[in-house]
Amino acid sequence: MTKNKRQWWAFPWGYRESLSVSLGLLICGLFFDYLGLKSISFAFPNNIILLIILGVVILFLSVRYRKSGISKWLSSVQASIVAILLFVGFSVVIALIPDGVQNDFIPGGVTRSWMYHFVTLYMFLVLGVTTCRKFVHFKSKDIPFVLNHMGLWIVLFFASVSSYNIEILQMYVNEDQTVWYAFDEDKEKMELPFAIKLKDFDIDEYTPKLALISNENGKIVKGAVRHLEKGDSCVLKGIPVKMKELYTESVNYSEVFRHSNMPGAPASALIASNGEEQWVSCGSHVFPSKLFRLNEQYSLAMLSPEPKRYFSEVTVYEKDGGISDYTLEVNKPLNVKGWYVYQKSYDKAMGKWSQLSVIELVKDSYLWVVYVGCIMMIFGSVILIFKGKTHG
Amino acid sequence: MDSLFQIFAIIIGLLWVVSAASVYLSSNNRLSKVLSLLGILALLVYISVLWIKLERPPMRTLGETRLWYSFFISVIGFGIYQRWKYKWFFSYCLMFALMFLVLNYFKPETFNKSLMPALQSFWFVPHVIVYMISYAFLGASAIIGLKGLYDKYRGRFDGSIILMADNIVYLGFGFLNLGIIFGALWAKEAWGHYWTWDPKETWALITWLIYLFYIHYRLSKPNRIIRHLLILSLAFFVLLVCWFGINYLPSAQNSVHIY
Repeated sequence: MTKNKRQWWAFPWGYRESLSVSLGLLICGLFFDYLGLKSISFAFPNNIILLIILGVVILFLSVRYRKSGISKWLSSVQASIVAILLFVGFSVVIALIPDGVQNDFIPGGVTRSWMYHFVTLYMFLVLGVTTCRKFVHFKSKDIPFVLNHMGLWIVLFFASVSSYNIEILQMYVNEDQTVWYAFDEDKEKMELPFAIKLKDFDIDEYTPKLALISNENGKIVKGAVRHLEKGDSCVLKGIPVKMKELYTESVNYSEVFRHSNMPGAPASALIASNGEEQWVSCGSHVFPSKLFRLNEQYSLAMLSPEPKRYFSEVTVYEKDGGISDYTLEVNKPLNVKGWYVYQKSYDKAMGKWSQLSVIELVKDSYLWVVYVGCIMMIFGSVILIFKGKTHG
Repeated sequence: MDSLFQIFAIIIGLLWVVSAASVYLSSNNRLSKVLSLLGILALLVYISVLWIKLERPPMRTLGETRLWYSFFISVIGFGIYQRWKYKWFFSYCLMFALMFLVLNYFKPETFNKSLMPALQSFWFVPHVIVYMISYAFLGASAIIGLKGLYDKYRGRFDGSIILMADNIVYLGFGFLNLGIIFGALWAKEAWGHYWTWDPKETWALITWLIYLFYIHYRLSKPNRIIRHLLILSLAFFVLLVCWFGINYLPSAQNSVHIY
């Protein structure tokens, strides 16, 4: 029946051997995890040591020992498929098991387990040897292959080690305050090579939405949320609603709202429904909210306005004397002395009257290498899109 | 959506139904091509009107992404019909595109202008568009998978369609790559982290891995056609979980990808 019945572990290796090796690695990893062996940290210098070892092994296997069965196996499509399936397995575990439960078994979650380390090592060897072997007799048609595979290797390796090296700090600055320190994950105070002065923090908001809420449980009725401007009308669950007046900042003077610049003055609207007129307001940290009871079943509420844009006007003082002004905004980080500075948050309870700006500082030394890998993959993907699969 | 959408949806639906039917009925396919193109054009006009009306790219809500999906899959159906001349593929793509419009027709979205600050970025449009193009190609590959399985069952399988599927998967996968990379670059710019194992990200990774598996498995066992067709059909199911299913996961309620 089978013409070439090959003995187990006789080269060339195929699925059986790939599966056995990876199963072996998984069991080893599981055993290490079971013993409670502390997971390796790939912070500097371990990351460089690992890179050198991996690099040397991959180079030897793909150049010096390229004729060996092991090298051919690592670059085989069977070995890659097993690696892909192992990662499918891990991703499904990560997707289905909540972080908390993962942490109970392995501190830091699945990606900090020995099992994951071993499988990742297998993947780096497979992907590395497959790519490097292409360089020996390099042809121009290998370019997309190398861009995609090598780009992926670079992205995965450096993104993985950077997760051990990355420094993430939080800075809390109040208006008119100058701060030159920030806090790490363990609330440890760290001094920075620059200081940030918050001149002003501000929020632009969308006009608030109106929503039907159930009188029974106080919850928002699904599908009954509308964005109205002054003069607009709509029908919510069969109830006609018209907005006759809208103030973004107002105060309630004996049941009538009027525009006001007072701090904490919330938005309000005059609503007409079924021949009756009443004010609704979303309230703030100073003033209570106000509902319009439409019937036995429903009331109309104004939801808290959503931020359109929030930003900090800051001055950055560098240690060497450099002074510069910036507007720090979501999606517009600053780069100061190797640190990326992000607008993270503010005092949510105070909303647009917040005097506090929460700033996140991130130092990721390997970012540029990850970007190199990303760019390689982008070019590789573009070629893939234009060429499709070439048969034959 | 609104009454304008209903009018457009009815017009586009009529154009596409007649187009998909006439490709079989008439020996001259000029009419069906013109009708399908008119439908595509009408959809594009509606999307543009919506864009102007919302004062932001219409890519935020599930309903809005369905519009783009419908647009791209009809374009792909048209393009591939031009290239490969498969009538069934043309009409399936149009009906598939129509299905997404019908979903919007019966499940209208609430009108919502607001766009949270994290989404106000240069990356928003390329990230979403590239994903929708990718999903449209991969959806087309799933149509081929199912059609292939049916043909195998009926014993009249045409081997060339798996070659067409390969090309489509490579195209779709290329866009999928771009989608993930753009997403990662954007996340870095917005939060300082390119990957946080957010549920949507994890499922996007699973989807990516499954198509990666298909591509490699095709190379490893080129003659196991039935398995390949099965993988193509099932992979799209995983993609749909990533696209729609995530919204129902309790663990995903704080994700930026909920819409």
